[in-house]
Amino acid sequence: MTAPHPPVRILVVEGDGEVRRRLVADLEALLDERAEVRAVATAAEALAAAHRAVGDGGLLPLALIERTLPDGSGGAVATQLHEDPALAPTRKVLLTSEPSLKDVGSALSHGAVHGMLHRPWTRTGLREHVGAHLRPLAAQHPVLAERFGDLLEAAAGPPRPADVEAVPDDVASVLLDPTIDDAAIERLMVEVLDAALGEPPRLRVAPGAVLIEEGDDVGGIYVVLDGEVALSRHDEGGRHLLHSASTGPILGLLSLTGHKRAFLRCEAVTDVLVIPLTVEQLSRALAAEPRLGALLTRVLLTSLARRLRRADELQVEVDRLNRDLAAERDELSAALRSLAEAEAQLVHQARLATLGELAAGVAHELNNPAAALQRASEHLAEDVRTILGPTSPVARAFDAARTEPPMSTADARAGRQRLADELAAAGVEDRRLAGRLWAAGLRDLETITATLGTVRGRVRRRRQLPSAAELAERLGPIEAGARAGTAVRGIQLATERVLALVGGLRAYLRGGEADEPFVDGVDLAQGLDDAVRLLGHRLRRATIERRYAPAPAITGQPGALQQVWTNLLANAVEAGGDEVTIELAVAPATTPEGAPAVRVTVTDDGPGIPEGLAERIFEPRFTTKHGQVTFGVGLGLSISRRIVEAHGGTISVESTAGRTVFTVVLPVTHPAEAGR
Amino acid sequence: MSELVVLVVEDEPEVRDALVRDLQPLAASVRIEVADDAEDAEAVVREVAEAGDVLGLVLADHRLPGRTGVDLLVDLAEDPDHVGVTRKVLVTGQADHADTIRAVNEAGLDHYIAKPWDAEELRAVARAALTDAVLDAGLDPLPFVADLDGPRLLEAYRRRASDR
Repeated sequence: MTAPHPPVRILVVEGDGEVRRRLVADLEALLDERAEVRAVATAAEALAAAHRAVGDGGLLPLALIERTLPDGSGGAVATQLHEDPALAPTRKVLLTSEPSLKDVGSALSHGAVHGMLHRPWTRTGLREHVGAHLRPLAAQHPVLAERFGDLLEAAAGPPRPADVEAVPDDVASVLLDPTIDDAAIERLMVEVLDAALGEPPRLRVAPGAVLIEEGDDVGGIYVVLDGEVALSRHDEGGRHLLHSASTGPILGLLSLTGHKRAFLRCEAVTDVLVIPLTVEQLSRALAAEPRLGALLTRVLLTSLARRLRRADELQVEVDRLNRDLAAERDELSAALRSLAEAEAQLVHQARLATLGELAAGVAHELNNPAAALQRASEHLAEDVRTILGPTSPVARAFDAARTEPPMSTADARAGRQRLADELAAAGVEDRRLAGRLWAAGLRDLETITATLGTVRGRVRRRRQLPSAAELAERLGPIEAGARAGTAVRGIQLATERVLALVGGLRAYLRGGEADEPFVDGVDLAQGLDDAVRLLGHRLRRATIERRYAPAPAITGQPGALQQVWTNLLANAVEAGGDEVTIELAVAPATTPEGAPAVRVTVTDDGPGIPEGLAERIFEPRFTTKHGQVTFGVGLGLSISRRIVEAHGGTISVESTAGRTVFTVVLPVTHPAEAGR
Repeated sequence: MSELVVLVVEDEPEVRDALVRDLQPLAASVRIEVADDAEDAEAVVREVAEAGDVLGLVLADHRLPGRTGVDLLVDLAEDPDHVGVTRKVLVTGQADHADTIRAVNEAGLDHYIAKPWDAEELRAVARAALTDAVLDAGLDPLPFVADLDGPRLLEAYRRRASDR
């Protein structure tokens, strides 16, 4: 292929055959025989090929050099060409797939590399590149402008400003003049730079190219002519974008202050056109062109101010984020706390529910055998009495022991002592025998004589107290009868306890009187007074104070509520002792939802509930006192809570030493019924 | 002549009756006293001491109204009138680990019987404890040979006779 005169040639130095062929093909398609494309595969061939290209008076405006050739770096080839005066004007463009400019830094700072063409390239990208690199040479070689006008136009680059002339010659005065456009100042600065340095080469890079890497030594600056560059910094938290729109036209600012190590990474976001300048080049330009100092200062001031503003905004943002974060953290920890509480409550409820099921099962299983025991003990008692005959002393001993009212051990001991003394007075001194007689139900001399006495005289059959030996001998069957009676009574008492427990459990599990219908017009003050009357015997010595304010009657289960008041009163006596002072109060109130309600408080002056127990006091527990099952603290309160909750109300307790207040709030209308 | 006394401390009457009934085979030589709480038990302890009788054994439930059975046994262990003689046994279904450890360490608990108890075991424990008490109190062993640990009591009797 013969190129028109003067021949214009483009050199491709590419080691990979396939890439080389494609690049040559794309270039030829683009140039359409207006230039000749020559290609070599190695660094060694590059210089000779370049010489041949210009040897016959031809032009070599562009060399595309693979960055990593099999036998050397593209940067070194570019430098080699650059140092040859015949080839210095040739634009050297490195072909690379690497975004970083790191290892071509030296070539760049020598002005030996004018651009980077990213692989894979697009035809459009290639076209722009070629155009952009032909354009600076077109002024010198009109033939280029003639022949490649279309390409040059496409790559016109930043338009030459018309308003540059508007900047006065006395540039020092523009420094602080806000009426002069920043863009105009920048353009003027570039123009002045170009004039001072003989239009230093432009570098065109693709998006993603890293112009300066954080931490690298920076030997100069980049003047950004076109495109967007992002500044970012990396730390353990990842990469932080600091500036993008606020980057400004000068990269590597810090290198001007003597810091050589780059603080930020400068990365192209779009296609970017820059002028790389070494510090030396800059110094040379400043010396040659006095106006440049003022222009550069203004540009630097503007960009620094922009970056500072951005930094301030970032700081404000950081503060706001910190505040938001703190608020969020507080909310989170509050949420976590309430979650933990809810979980604990759930676990607790689940445990209670399981226990409840278990208790229901146990209650059911216990009920039958206990009922059978109760019946059997009565049958046993009837049959034993039949066997013993209606009037025998043994039968009397059996009945007496079976039906004997409970007596404290101390009273029994005192009685036994009295009997021993009586016997001693009558000449029978034997304490153990006295004890046996007492246990057999023979508790005074008269009864003993009548039951075990020796008959004297034939007509008037008078009996008299026998001797100790005779008493001991005759006592046997009667003792046995009394023991049998005691045993039967034991069975009956034990059975009653089991049945009472079962009944209590069932009442609890049913939730009080679940079957009882709700009725209107339940007067709570009336209910309290009824409960006081019912518990009359236990409240005999207690002081009851009433503070009843007029309150509406409610819809409820009078019987079940009766049970609540009875439980609370019994609890007060249990806690405060017989002489407790109980204050009963009734007053109108509202539920937390705002519905009309009635508040009932039962306050006692007992010792109070031990700390930590108050929240557990409504849990079902059994207590036994003196062999009696009591539902005072425990089942009674848990039943009460069930009843209150069945009414849609609440029950709570507050307790300090000397003052315990149970508060029941019952809605006037049951919430579930309110809508009807 | 001083009597040997066993004290049953139990607040539930039917349980107390049953314990007393199970101890009846010993009643020919041992007086059985009962109390329904710790306070009443202490009254019995005082009466026994005043009468010059020997409190050989206390069988106490742990759970009592007011002070517990372990409290009672601990106090008793510190009572100089009964140190070295009175044997202490818990008969309970309700003492937890800590209560029991305290009873062993502080009251010198001799035995622990769980409810429901076995009558034979109850009597065996009571016989052994009362035999110890008889020997420690220096009572004449002979009246107890039939109801308590006969061979041990007889051996003690012979040794004492030969000592004289």
